[in-house]
Amino acid sequence: SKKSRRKKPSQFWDVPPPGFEHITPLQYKALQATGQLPVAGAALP
Amino acid sequence: CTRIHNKPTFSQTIVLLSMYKSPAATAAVLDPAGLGVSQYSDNELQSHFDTFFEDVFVEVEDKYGEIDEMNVCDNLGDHLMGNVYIKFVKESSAKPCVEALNNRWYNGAPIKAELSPVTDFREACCR
Repeated sequence: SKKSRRKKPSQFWDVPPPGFEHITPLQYKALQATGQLPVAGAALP
Repeated sequence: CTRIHNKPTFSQTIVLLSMYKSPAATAAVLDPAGLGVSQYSDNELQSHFDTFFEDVFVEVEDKYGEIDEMNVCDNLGDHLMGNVYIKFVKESSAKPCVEALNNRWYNGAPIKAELSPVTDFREACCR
């Protein structure tokens, strides 16, 4: 199998918005689509 | 942009919408008149971008397939700002990648991924 090129673990991948760790990204976007969650940019790293 | 953006059903290129949040672009949105003094040096902005680019490139190539080319929009147009375009070597990498990334988080936000009709980035424009 091929070796990963990642030198250290990512700080950003698979980091959910605080308080939404219990739902999936698809569920989160569905809530945004129905207006139950605001569509806002992520915080800066 | 008033153009119709066709979404292809197959492509070797994907777009990750508004994924790159540049500190400079964020400052421009918050302070459109530019009255505030930029708190970021060119070196800091470049370093921020380089970290993002490598983080995304390595993860996508490791998990979803060899990348031919990756571009990040440094454009303040609403529908372009922060878009990441990734052209895979193989078309068969693109669709599974879109499906997988649409159910992953990046930096506290859900990823919005689509297939893109762009095949040549030097000829790309809104149609």
